[in-house]
Amino acid sequence: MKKPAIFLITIFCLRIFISCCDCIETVSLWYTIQTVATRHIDNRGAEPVYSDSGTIPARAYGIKINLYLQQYALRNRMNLMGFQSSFATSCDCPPEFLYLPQDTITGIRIIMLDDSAVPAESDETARFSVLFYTSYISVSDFLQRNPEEFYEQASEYTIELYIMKPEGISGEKRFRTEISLSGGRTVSTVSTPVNLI
Amino acid sequence: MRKPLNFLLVFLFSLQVFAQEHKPIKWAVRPSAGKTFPLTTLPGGHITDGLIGFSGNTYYWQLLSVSWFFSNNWGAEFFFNGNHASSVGNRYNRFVEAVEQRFGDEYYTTPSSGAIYPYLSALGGSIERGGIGPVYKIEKGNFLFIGRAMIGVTSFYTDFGYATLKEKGGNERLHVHWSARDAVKDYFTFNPSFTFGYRLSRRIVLDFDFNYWLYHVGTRYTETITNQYTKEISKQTFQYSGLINEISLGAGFMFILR
Repeated sequence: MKKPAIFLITIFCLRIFISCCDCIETVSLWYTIQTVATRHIDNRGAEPVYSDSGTIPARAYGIKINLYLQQYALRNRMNLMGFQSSFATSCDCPPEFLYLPQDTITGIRIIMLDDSAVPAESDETARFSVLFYTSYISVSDFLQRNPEEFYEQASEYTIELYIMKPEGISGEKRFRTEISLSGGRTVSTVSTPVNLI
Repeated sequence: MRKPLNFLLVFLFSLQVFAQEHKPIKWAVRPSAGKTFPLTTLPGGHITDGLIGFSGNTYYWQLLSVSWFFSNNWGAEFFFNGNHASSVGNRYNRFVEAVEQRFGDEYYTTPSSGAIYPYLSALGGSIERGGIGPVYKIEKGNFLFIGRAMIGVTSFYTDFGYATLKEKGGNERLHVHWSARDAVKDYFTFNPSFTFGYRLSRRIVLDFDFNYWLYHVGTRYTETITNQYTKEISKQTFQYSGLINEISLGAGFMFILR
């Protein structure tokens, strides 16, 4: 009984050694959202056109949010075991670098500014949906997604919101975009005027 | 006019005179090729027509056909042949045109389909046929007549289709999916056929083949349109059903193994 067991264990160990890959330990880094900027999206055509002014039909309007990122700290990882990671039985090494968000986006608000109306400000976030690949998801569903992680250093991150309920919006407007972050900060920007028809 | 006729008659009768007595055929293989013509074809007119890898008007090649005669006249045969037509090979283009024709006025269309990679094998082409059945043979000198009553299968592909539609002048987006469930469709086929042959040598026969194909196709495509904002789904089906009649005319060589 012992001999077959030793034989099987030897085969098992050999397989582990053969399967072992020399993978580099992943370096994890934090990134943080520093500033935000927006551009208007004219979505009349097959592909969106980005601009800072102009006349756009309300039903084809969107806002492109550019979040500018900064890598600012090396994430410390505790290695209590004292061993490097081994990747026996698989040669799919993890990424060399992993950029993780230090503070996640907890809220997106789109405030429409209309100097000719009273009140001059109104929260129009509910009119917008986030374009996710080729589908639309609500802003709240977007916020519930896992935060973006990057394998390469990224300087910016883009979110595109499109107006899905254009009824009653016309005239020259500006939009203030407010991004709330989990650390308690809020970054915001006000767009250039756009004439919605 | 009479001279050629007299010559032909003399030629035909002289063949009998010079005909050798051959041992009855026991085993033979019969590669051949030819053209298939539809008498009735698959009813269509739907946006999914281009997703179906089917045409009644095809070229065929039969690389695999084995006959075994267990008596002087009776035997059994197995065959497998491939069929293809350019209309099957370029059906993806027709699908793209159909999507554009139906949705192009209101939407920018981005279609895709498995039909973009047309399946074409050297042995089976894009439409495969195989069958087995009894055969009856008459050998008269160098002449040969074989009648068959085969049963088998006709197979072809029904590919999926997909299109993303983006509203012209607006933000609306739709996803459209067309599916016929199983990718490969097999249909029971009745195939009486006749072969007229002339022995060129002891082991080689030049033959001319006539095939009749009868099978019933019944399949349907389901179209699912999903609004990417409201998530509303609408469905409709496109039915393809009909009795298919085709005839094939071809020629080949029969190689007598025993």
